[in-house]
Amino acid sequence: MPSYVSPPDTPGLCPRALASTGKCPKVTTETHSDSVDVRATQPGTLGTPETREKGSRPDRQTSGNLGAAPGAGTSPTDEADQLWEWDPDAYVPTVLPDGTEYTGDPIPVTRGGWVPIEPTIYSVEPYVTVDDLANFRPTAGTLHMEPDGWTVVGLTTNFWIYVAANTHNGELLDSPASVRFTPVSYTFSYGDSSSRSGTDAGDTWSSQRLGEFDPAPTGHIFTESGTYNIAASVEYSAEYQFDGGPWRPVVGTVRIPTNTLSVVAARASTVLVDENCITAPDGPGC
Amino acid sequence: MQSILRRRTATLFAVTAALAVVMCGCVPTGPEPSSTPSPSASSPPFASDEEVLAAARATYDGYLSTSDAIMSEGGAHSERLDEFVTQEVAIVEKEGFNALATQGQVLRGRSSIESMVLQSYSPNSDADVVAAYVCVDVGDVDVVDQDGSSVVDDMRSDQSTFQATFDFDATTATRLRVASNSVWSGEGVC
Repeated sequence: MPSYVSPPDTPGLCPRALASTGKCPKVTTETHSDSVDVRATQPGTLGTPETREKGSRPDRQTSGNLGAAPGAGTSPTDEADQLWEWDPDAYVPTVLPDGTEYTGDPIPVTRGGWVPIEPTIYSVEPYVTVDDLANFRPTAGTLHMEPDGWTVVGLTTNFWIYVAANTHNGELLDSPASVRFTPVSYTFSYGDSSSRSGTDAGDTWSSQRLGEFDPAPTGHIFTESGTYNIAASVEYSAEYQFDGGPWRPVVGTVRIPTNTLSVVAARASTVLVDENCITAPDGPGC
Repeated sequence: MQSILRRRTATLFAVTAALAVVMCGCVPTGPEPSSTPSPSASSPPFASDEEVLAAARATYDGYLSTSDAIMSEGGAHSERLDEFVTQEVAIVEKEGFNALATQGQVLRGRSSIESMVLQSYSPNSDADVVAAYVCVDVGDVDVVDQDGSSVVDDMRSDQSTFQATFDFDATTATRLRVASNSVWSGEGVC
């Protein structure tokens, strides 16, 4: 069975730069009846299983390694890892005891001989899941709200999360790697038993060209006055990269909480009574 | 019997007498045999396994020594490798040379072929015409960084076995190019 890792679209090759330092990738295989487990001790690169045709009838077979008179029905001396199959149509030249080829007349037509089987070649890459990312933590998002710390019952309070894709270096499967986290969904929990999850992180009212208290996709209306603790989290997908190689996906996602916020919601009349537009020019309705 | 001796005098001279005794009565006498069939137009002109192995060895030797020279010179003039390998191999090898050079690493010493065994020779194609097992000795090879510290893996053996395949190319000096060179886990070569 195959025993090497190869770069995609190039022949099996351990470059001299790696071979000189003793860093050729090592692969072990365990063969089962209809499958093979391939384990790599170093990361490789992605390829697809490649099946080559079985060896067609050869014009010549090398002497010395075959170990038996052709057509004798015995298999050649096995080179370790070299598989052979009997091809009844193969033409094998008759070899004299001294190793030379008999070409006298008539040339005996020997049909049937052992032909080498080409192995199926698999290229290997590590299967990386979020469980392998113990050494990597994404940068958490930050939760924001407006108005800040207070709001009016029955009107929309705006919430949003600031977060961007972030990349970190560390050790992945015992090799130096970079992992890039990309936010894919956002969850808001409003502290009143309601929550929202979606792909919108939200933004300020002004960025969305909305007015204060206008309905917003990530906003929330509190229906009872009180103090609420708001929580949020960001779900990230991840990709990994070894040594400047290609970025490859990590299976699974990670969810990281943001900071929390506390908000006091009061009835509009209460708010207006406490402030006026001279003492609180940023108050609601001013 | 007599005709065989005449055609193969040079190679069978030493065993002529023995052969004559062994073959007597076993091979039907008959008219003169036809001349050795000439190879097809597309097959490379290697007349024997020995010639194939010699060409493969010369090619592989050039591949090793030129790679070492390039890596000992910080990756300079990597086009020197082109005549010994296919384009695909050249691309990957040069990436390796660049990686070493970028990290300020330099090779010292020289790799060598300890032994080489022909696995197969398929003259009716130009790709993977020859496959061989090679025992490569890197006991004299060190790779050092800018501080002079070795970056060779602790577990590196002095000798490793590779399976190499070669494509035919009539334009090169040896008429072969290294087309692949993968680690081979079998025994009996080194």
